[in-house]
Amino acid sequence: MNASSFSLVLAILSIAGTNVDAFAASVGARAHPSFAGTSEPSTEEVRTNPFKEQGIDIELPDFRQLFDKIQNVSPLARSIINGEAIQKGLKDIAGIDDKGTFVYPTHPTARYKPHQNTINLTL
Amino acid sequence: MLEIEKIDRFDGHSAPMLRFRSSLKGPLVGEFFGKLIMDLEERKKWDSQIEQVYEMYPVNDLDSANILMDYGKFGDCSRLGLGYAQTKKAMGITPREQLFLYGLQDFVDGSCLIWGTEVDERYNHLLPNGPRHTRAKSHLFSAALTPTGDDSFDVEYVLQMDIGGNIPSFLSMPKVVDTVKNLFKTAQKEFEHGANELEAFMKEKTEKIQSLADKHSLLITP
Repeated sequence: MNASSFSLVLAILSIAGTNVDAFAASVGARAHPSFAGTSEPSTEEVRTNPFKEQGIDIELPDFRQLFDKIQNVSPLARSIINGEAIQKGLKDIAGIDDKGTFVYPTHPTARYKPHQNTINLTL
Repeated sequence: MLEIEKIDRFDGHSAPMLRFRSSLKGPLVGEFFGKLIMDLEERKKWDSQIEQVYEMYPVNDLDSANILMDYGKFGDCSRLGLGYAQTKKAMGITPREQLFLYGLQDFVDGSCLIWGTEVDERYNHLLPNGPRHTRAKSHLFSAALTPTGDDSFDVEYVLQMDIGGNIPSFLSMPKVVDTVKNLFKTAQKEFEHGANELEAFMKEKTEKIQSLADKHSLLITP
């Protein structure tokens, strides 16, 4: 196949791809679960109620969001969840940055930065 | 040494997010730390305001809980439930009550995460019978514990607590800080000087970690 033929094939494929996308969008195929890919089932699809035994119908929080929130404010929790906490602990994690948001170190040498809201007390 | 930090207006709430960090002596037993928080007699050792605290609806179906938590991505959920707490009337402040979801996640390295979050008021019908009190809210609570040796561990404790009513957080925060400081002092004493109860907990914990490790080794067996 010479260069011009190859370009032609590419162009055809490109047009065809565009048309398929346009069609899929027009019929809403992408939103239909039957057309979903092979990704793992979402928690919604397998959602169960651990409180069923107690006869309690309660909407539980989205645990991914809950644990993300915890990790945002607790670098040690993040370290534990990521499997990085073994034999390290607090000495290797960062505190809050100067903007007043909790941060996690992006570099292994990152250390806690003193902050005006921090106080140290002896137990 | 206990390090205390705060961040204002986290997640849009008026109550500050407080973070406490300390290194404690003694073997890490997560359930034992959890017991200091959820068992009334243990709780009384550090929280002078507590009137009631208990696991109101403990979950037995932890498999379902672990499915909801992404199949172990956040550790092995070994405890989950709805808890209830009530404080005493003190210094002109009427009793407060809380209904919260709590859990304990165990990790293969011996670390653990104890967490809690307030349950929405639409579930007030789950509160125990009796007079109702002003609702306090722990928007978010977490205690991350990780071993730093055979006989020491680190704790990072975060809490965003709104004590409710019309009391501004700048007035309530010092009391919350003092109470959590007492928790750390008590934990230091309980873990360092250990009791028979702690040893029993340790045995149970060791068996659980072994069981968890076996579970993981089964998963990676081709």
